Formats: sequence, C-alpha cells, structure tokens
Amino acid sequence: MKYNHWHSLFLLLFLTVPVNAASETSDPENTLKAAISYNLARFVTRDPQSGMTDTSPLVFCVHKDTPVAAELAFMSAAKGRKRTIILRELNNYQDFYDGCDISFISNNNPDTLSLKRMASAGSVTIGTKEGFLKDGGGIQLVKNGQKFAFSVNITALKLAHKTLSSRVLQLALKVEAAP
Amino acid sequence: MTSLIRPQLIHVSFAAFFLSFFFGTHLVGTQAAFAQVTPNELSRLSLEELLGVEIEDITGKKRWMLSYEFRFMDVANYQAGRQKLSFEDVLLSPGETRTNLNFPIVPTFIKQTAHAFSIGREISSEFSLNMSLPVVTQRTEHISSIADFEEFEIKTSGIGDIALIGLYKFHRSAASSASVGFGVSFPTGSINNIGDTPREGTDTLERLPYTMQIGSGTYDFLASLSFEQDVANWAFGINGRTTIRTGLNENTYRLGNNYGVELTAKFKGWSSVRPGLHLSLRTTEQITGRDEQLLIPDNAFPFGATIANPENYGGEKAKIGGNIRLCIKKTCGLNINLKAAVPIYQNLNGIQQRERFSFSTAINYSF
Repeated sequence: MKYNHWHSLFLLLFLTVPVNAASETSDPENTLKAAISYNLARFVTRDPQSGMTDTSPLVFCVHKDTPVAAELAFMSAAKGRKRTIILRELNNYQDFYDGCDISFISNNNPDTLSLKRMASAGSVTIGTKEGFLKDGGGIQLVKNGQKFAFSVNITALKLAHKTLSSRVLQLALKVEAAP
Repeated sequence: MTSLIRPQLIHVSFAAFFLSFFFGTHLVGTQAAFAQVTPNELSRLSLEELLGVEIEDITGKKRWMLSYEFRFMDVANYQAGRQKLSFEDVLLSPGETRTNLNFPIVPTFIKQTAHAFSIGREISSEFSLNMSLPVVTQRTEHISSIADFEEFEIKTSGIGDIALIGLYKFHRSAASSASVGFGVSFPTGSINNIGDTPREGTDTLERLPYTMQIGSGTYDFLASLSFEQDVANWAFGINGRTTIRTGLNENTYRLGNNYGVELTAKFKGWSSVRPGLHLSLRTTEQITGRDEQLLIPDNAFPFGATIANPENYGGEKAKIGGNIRLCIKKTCGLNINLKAAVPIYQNLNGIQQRERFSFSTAINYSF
C-alpha cells in the first residue's frame, strides 16, 4: 500500500502524455533542403533601396502542396534566431509574385512560373531544378552525393534588391551572374 | 565469478541498482542516439554544419547504434527510513544486546561499477531495438564483531542480466517528441555467487546476499514513456520508467519492482555541447520471498547483516544531477555523455546503506 501513490504517478504519466498515433514520416532529403533554405534565408538582407527597414520580418513563401512546405513549417516553428522569418504557405502560384522576400520553388511547380518576374517582385528564389539559375533563379541547391551544396546567381539577387552575406557567398559552390 | 578477500554482505542490491540505473538512463540514451537529427535540431545548425550533413544523418533508414557506458555508484553509511545512522549504531558490539536493529556484520563502503555494452538497430524511423550487455563489479568493505572477520572485503563480478528493449516514437513535431519503450530483462546474471562469509566460519564458502548477486534471477519487464518539449533554446522533458519483475527466482525470491520519474532540462542553443540538469524520483519495493541459505539457522535473529534481510531493501530516492553531451560529429552521431547525480532525499526501507553519488560516462556511435 505504501507505494500506491507512486503507482498512481506512473500511471498518470502514461495517461497524460499526448498520444499522436499518426507519427510524422518525412523524406529526409526534403528535410535537409528545407533546413538549408531556411538557414540561407537568415542571411538574406534587403537592399536599402527596397524602402523597407531591415528589421522587418522576411516573408518566406512556399506553395502548400510542395513536400518541402511541411518541413519548412517545422523549421519555422522551431523558431528563427536573429531574424524573424514569416513562413507563408501559398494556395495560388500567382501569389509568388507579391510580397515574398524568399520563395522556395519545387521541381513540381508549373513551368509557367517566371523566376525573373519573381525576382523583379523582390523575391530570392530557391530551387533544385537543373538550369534553375539560368532560368533566373536566385539560389540553386545542388545534391552532391549525400550532401547538399548551393550556387548563387548574383544577377537575380540584385534584381530582387536583396543581398546575401559575404560569408555565405564564400560557402557557395559557385557564384555566377546569369543573365 | 567471486573474488573474495573475506566474507561479505552488501546493502544495495546490485542487480536492482543496475537494472534500474541502467534501464533508467540507457533507454533515454538510446533514444537520444537514435533520434538522429530532427528538423528542429537542423534549424539550430549553422549553415556550415548543414552543408556537412549527409541525408542519411536525418533519414529514417535503418541504422545501427553502438554504445559503451561506464557507471559508478558510491554507497556508504546508514539510514533507517530518513534517519541517518553511524556504523557504530548498526554494529553489534561485544557485550551489547542483540536486537533487530544491530548486526554482527556491517558493510561499510560499497563501490559498484558497470561496463555496459549495447547494440541497437533502427527498424524504421519510429521503431528501434536495443540489446544491452552489462559487465558488473562490486567491491564491499565490512567491519564485524566476529573473530577473524573484524575487517574484510569481498568482490563479485560478472555478466549481468541482458536486456532487450524496443522503443517507439509515437509523436514528433517541430518542438516536441514522445516515445514509449518496452523491454525484457533476461536472467543471465548469476544469483549464485559465493564467498567466505562469517555465516559458517572461516574458509567456508556460502551464497552471498542479494546485493552481491549480479543478476536478478527473474524475467523482468521494462517500460518507459518519455516526452520532450522545446521552449526557445531549452528542451524540457519528463520520463517515466519502471521495472516489473515476475515470479520467484531459483533461490525463492524476487527483487522489488521499481518506478521512476525524471524531469530534465537541456540547453540546445549550442550544436556541439549540450549541458543539462535532471531531477529524478524513484521508488523501489522490498524483496519478495527470501533466500533461505542466507539465514543463520536456529537463531532468534537469523540475519547476520542488514543486507541478509529482504525487508531492508527498496525505498524512495530523489536525486539531482547534471550532464553534458559532447557531439564529436556534426549531427551528434558520435557523442560522449557525462552524467553525475547526488541524492537529495532518501527514505529507505528498514536499515540500509545510503547512496552518496553516482557517475556515468558513455560514448555512443550511430551509423
């Protein structure tokens, strides 16, 4: 009888911990893509000509149907460090052209999306598709064996009135000025 | 295997200690080792570190885990309930009247060490299996009022009870995770260690008391439930663990069940060094049944030492401690974990020696 309270405590513990039978399963490749993209976003700054103060939150856009969207939501919930990044999950592809500072473009997104138009609208685009930078993308994630590296298109960043920290540029696989 | 320098009698059941201590810490360790890198953890890595992360580091693909852990526990002095006693209080001195509260043999200092080897396999991103093999050693010093046994030391060592544990992560979100573990401990450790105790005089070998036995002698069920929640750069957790023993062993006793709860706080602001604090509460029941060979026959006081009496086992303990995990690889697939704890509260059944501190260091590698 002496230990009834311990038994009760233990049982209580079992009963009170939330049970989520639908455990998350995710593609680790998407998880890593999201982590690198989210991290890169922290080093994006607005060009003073953009007219917005540098301390205002950066808006990170991703289409809600993109597999990476869920992983980015994890990253966002895990909280940014120095800068607040607002994740915006879009229902409509047209919304990429308005109010996004950074956009993750999935390989599944329609070809009709214009990366150059998005850059002109102020968005640094991040994608993995081959030829992404030549098409006007800003940052391309490149799979290198079991790891990811990235390349940067300075032209696209300038068009978006954004800059990337010089420290980050040093880590880039390639920094180019694609037309 | 028993190396004896003289008879012995101990106080804290090694098997009980080991199963609770090992299971109590190791299951959590297993979880950490298998946790790999969560999205939450990835968000804390620097860009340089992320570029070094391999997809397999975060994948749910099958992975192996190897671990070695060294544990040490120091036990000394006595308590009856919460009242502290000296060796003199417990030792039956010449001319003193024998009662249930004094004994002709008194274990004084106990040093318990364990080398735990474990291997684990991640079956899926949610489920993993782990098998552990402990090699344990216990050394006990004694004083006694029996001629030729005034001071003596005895040591036992050997392979302990092998445990097989399954861990299921049933919840994962960006800032929290929860898992449940179930396992079985097999009676592979010996419960028949012998030594030259005063029970039948000098140069005789008798079976040693419960604490000196390396195994439990029973099939035991192990269970755990863990929940961890991130708050800013901290992770706060609560872990519940129990060992439920079954039947009686071949020497007609069963060690007590134990139930424990641990609260943890870990600082996760740094990627390679993770300090933490923990507060644990654990209760252990008394031994059920008894080993008849430990009794002094035809004597009104059949227990020659506190540890020969099965009622002098178990109790409640609260411990506080700290730990630090050093990640040698970026994603912590290779890490060293140092942990130490001191009791802040002990309410022991009967008359027992009290724990002074415990320490462990582990190296974990997953691939």
